Amino acid sequence: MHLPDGFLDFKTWLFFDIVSIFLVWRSLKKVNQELSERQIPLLGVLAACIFAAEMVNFPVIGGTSGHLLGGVLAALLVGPWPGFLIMSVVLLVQALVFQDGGILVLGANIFNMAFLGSFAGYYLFKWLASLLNQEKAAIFLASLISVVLAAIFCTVELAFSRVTSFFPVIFVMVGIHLLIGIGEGLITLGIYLAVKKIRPDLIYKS
Amino acid sequence: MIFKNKIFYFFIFLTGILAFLSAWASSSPDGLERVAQRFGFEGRAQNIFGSWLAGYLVPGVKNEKLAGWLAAAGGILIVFFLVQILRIFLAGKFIKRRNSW
Repeated sequence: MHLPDGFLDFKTWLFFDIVSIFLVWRSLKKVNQELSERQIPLLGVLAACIFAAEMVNFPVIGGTSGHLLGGVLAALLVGPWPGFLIMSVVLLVQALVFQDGGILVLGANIFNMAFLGSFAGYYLFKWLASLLNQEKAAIFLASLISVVLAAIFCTVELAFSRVTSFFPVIFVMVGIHLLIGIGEGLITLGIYLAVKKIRPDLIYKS
Repeated sequence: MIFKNKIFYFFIFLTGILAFLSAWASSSPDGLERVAQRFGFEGRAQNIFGSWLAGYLVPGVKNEKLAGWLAAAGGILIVFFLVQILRIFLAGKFIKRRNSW
């Protein structure tokens, strides 16, 4: 779901660049409040793993593919602010080095995939976990919904830029990303459970 | 052992597997690209700034799988080291916090 340059108009990409710069600045201030000293070494390998996972596109439907976003996974393991920070690093490298996502629209990509994944996804997980009393289902659903949420915001940004109309694009975006979200949910759950088995004490506890 | 904790070996192993599998990743367009094609705004995409490893391939390497693996390795290392730089910054903040207790 990496927006390329040219998909958003000036006012939209500028707005999200400003928002994301503020969020990154805030995350640098807040991150050590959430992160235990013991978790710091985990950040690098987790970021590298998420980057690698984003390279493995899997087919979904009708000649379309998807890949892990990783925001919920990052937040579950290291907390929302650190998760957001490492996701932002991944997106920055993807844009600058690999031309995967534009530079001017990097703020929008960071907001859609890093912020919504790490924050909305994480707090959605907390709410679902308390509602369902089922950690695994909550992780799966929060991951799935975070992808759909990112797709919705992406569509809003495109419509606001007058690149395309909100309807019927939203139906197609949500439909495709529901399927991609299933993959996100399964991969996130699998990696989370593996980490929980190996070192449960390293998992972020709010 | 370089790392005391098994968790690092888990992530290194997983990262390696994923990088290896990336050679067989689906080449179909992702969700946004598919929507852009369907609704006719795909052509608006611009590459305003060039990039070194565009398309996740190292230029000049004839074998596409090898080009992809090298690009993956490069990206993994760049991400890892950028986060390590952040880690130094965070560690400094931790030391200040500890010293202030």
